[in-house]
Amino acid sequence: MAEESYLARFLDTCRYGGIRLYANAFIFLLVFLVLAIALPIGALAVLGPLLRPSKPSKAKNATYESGLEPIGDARSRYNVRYYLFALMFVIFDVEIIFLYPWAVSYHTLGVFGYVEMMIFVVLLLIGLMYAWRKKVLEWM
Amino acid sequence: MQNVLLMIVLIPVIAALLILPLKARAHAITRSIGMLGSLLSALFALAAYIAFQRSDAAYQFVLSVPWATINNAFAGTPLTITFAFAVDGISLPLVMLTGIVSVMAALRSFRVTERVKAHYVWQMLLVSGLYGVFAAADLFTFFFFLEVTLVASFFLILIFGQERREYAAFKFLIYRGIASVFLLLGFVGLAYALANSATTVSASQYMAYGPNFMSLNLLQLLDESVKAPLALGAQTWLFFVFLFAVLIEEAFVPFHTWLIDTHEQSDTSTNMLIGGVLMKVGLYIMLRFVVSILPLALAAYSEWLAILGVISILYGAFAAIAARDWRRLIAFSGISHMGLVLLAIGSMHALGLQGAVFMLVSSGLLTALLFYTVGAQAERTGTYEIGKLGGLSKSLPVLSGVLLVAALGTVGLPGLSGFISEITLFISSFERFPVVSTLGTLGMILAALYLLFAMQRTTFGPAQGAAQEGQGIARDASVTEAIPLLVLVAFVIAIGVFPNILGVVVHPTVQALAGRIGG
Amino acid sequence: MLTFTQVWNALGPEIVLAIGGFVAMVYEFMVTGRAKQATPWIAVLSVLTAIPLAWSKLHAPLATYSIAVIAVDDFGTIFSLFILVSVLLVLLFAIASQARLKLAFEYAYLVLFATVGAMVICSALDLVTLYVGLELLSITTYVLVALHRKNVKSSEAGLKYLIIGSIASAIILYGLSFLYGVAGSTGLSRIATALQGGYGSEPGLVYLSIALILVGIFVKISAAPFHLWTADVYEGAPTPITAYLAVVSKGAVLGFLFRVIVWLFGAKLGEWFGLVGWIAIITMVIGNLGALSQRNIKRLLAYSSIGQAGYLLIPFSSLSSSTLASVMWQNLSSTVFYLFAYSFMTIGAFAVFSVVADASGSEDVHAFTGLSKRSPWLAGMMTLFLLSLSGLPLTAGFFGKFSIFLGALGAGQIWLGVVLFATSAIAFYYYFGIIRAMYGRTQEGDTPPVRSSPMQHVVVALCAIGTLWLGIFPGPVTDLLSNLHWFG
Repeated sequence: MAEESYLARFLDTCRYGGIRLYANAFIFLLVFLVLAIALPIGALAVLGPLLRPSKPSKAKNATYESGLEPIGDARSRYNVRYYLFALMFVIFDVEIIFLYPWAVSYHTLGVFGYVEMMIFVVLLLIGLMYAWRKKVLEWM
Repeated sequence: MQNVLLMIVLIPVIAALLILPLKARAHAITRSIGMLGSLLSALFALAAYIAFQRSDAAYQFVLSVPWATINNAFAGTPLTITFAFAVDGISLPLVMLTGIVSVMAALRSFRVTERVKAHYVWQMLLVSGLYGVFAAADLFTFFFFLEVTLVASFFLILIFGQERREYAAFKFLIYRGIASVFLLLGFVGLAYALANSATTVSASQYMAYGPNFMSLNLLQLLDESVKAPLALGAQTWLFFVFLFAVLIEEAFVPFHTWLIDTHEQSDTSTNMLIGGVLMKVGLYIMLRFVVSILPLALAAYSEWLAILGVISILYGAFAAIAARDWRRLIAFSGISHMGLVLLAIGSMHALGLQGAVFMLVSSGLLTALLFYTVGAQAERTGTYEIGKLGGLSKSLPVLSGVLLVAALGTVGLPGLSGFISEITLFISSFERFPVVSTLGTLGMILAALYLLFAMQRTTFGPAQGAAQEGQGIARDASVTEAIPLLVLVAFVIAIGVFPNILGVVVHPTVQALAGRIGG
Repeated sequence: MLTFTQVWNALGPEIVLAIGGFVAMVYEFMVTGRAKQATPWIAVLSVLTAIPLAWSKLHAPLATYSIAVIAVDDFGTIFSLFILVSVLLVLLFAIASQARLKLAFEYAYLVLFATVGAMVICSALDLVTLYVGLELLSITTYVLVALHRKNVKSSEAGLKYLIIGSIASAIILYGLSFLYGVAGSTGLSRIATALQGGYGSEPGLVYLSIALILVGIFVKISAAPFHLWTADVYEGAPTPITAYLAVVSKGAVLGFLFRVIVWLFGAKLGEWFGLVGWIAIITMVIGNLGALSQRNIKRLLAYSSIGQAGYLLIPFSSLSSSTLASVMWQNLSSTVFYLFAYSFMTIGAFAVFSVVADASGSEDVHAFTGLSKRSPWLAGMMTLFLLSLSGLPLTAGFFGKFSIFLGALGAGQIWLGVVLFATSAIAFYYYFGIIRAMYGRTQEGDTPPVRSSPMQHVVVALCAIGTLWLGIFPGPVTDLLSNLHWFG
């Protein structure tokens, strides 16, 4: 009797525990959210002015740039071509992420997995060829 | 004989299809095909009239062509949509009216010289639509042909109208479009309500689908509505949906402005078809669907019909007095006469219903005749304005004579078709609504006033304005022009003198119909 | 373990399209000059191969593959067929307008990839697969809209579509994530089990999830009040792509709506139909009123397509309001029927518009002035499409609307049907405005005849045949639809 009810409770937890945990997870999120808002405000706006001495000078007010004299505007433009290279890089980076677990469990996945991965690689290869032919890889 | 109605409806379409590939300059062939199509259809209508079993109140020449099936349309049962045709004593006279007016309009269209092909194509489609509306024995078929008339008339007004034709065409389209939306709503609501209440279906349908079965077939709906009448609540809201649609279709006050613009802007043959035939459709809906299927609601609200009717009678009459343009005058006079029909339907009496059918036919013929005559006059004098016309009896004696006949017929001179319609109609309405009917007769007196005044200005008195300048070139009606005039006049006189040529057909059906509403 | 046969059975048409897309891609970047002209034909060929494959899947026994990621049921198959037929027309349309529009040939395979996404979201049974399909459709259409990248309007449209579309995708994803959180699974059937025919143990989160999914979908099918992007994007995009957005994109997302909502919340839909019904009403009214004031035909058709989206939401609302199976089948059939009708008449109207706009160099209503003289054939065809769009009998549009109306009536939602026909009556005004320009007016000065290529005539004729066929002989299609086993 006691065992049965224990089993039932266990099964119940298995079935619905996920749901309760899910709702509970948001409590942690809430705690983090409150902390994330409260800490900077507390440190910079409340505690800081109370503790620090206030003696501003020109050198102190200057923008910090690794200890060097700041030059020019804080915003600078990058050539748009970097963007294309970055995109290409991300694609092949992700390819590696997929290839790695596949390589680890190669034996369990078998022929089906092999063919699937080959399709994936070939598709990306076509993408690379496309970029090549469309002169994405040339700087000028 | 079974297919006669299908022939009547299809022949104009075939004529339109034959005209379509012709060269734009081939006016003569276009005209003759159009004429032949109209004539052939009218002859078939005549054949139907002759073969019609006079003593039988039921639908005749029933023909049903299944078209499409919507599965699961109602409570899991399919709905089969058919093209079904049949006529009874109410629709047959209107089919005849369509035949007569369409032939005359085709003759009149000989005068069109610009874009002849388009004119005949759309006119043939309009004629087919009109036949179809009156011959339909299925709610879908009815709605379909009504939409055909909508599109065809739109194009006729848009392409061949006067300077403000675009405005008129769009007003026509929007008003009647909204009316047909309500009509469709009423139709589907009717079929739905009857399917819900019905306990009687044919054995084979019962076997297949059980007791609840949705149908759009008019014969089946009528049958069901007798065996399992709708409750008053359902009847009432359907009644108001239909009434709203009819008020717009028939251009009753306050929805009348579209008709005035349409008539003022359209050319003569279009006006003949719209004023003479299309404007009878709304009241036909009233007779066909409301009186027969919604008798309880009709009984409960018949006073409303009478009052609405009298408002239209008086408004139309007063507005006609103020009209300066013949076409406006005819349009308002038409509204006034259709108000009479509504009053007659409100009387809920066999005699009143018979008067209503007579009035529809008579007013159709007379309106077509009036439009034809003033159109022919305007062609010679260049104006429709009553004030600018005068003394035409000397230069145009035939036209003026016909105009006089038409005006007298409309006023209700004994011996012409208007009289017999009005007298039967008033007798029954006086019995039920003495006060309202008295006001209605005032409209008839006013009709005499405005028509005879306009007549007098136009035909008699000193020749003036455009007529005077036109003396040299104005010729009276040619032979091709005179034929329609004489034919229409002949029918007007025939119905006036021998009302029985119409009465024998109308009477049994109207009796049966009145039996449903306890009249 | 999954086999190749199973994958092929489940995704045959999609695989053919994907392979066709990559072949077209390789072909396009390998060849130079005039040989590139053949690229779209490779796409056409793969669509033509996929159609019989999809057709053969109809009435196949229900099967779910790969741990319930893809369902092979007639719902997915019939939506796939609709998508394939529409894509075929769009591709032919694009080929026909190529000479004038000078589209980059990338469109051929981008359209195919978008189509794969569209087909996947109609038959996927897993939240992740659904979302991947949706993004495949969305991202490729962002690119397609901005295909004329030198054209300011096209770029602007692309950017607008990108921003609005990705926000909508994100909102949908957010909604899906709550479902996963509540049910602990991404499989639709498992989620349905976890929700126990209701909202499970976390009704608040599920409500939020449904609301987010619905909002995202309403943005994608441009239902009011989420429609503001539509006119700008439709105007800026190249015309064949506009047709693609209006037909395929909208239809596929509608399939997504049915699939997700009916599968997951079928038993509880009754609580939502009022909301969807109001959205449908607002959409119909705003779409049709908005079209009244448009002079640019593309914008006019865009607003009209908003109105059509409202019509297409009616069956969804109606089937939610009743628990009768027959109501559900009727509403599903009327949706699919109307989608086919909508596809033919919309693509046809865009095709005629494209020819006329090229001939007169203007996208205004005036471009149609006197078309009945300049090209009676095109004027007649345009009239047919417009009559069908306004829902007059003997055209596909009427029968579609009528069966939607009957579906609403059967579910007791007569007010939806009333608004449907009332707004159709408003629509008369602007559709017949184009007809007025074609027939009622003549152009001043010398009128250049409208030049059109045989290919353009083929597209217009195909659409016209479809419109008339569905309008005059709807029987075979309604029979087909009534014999489907929608969800197995």
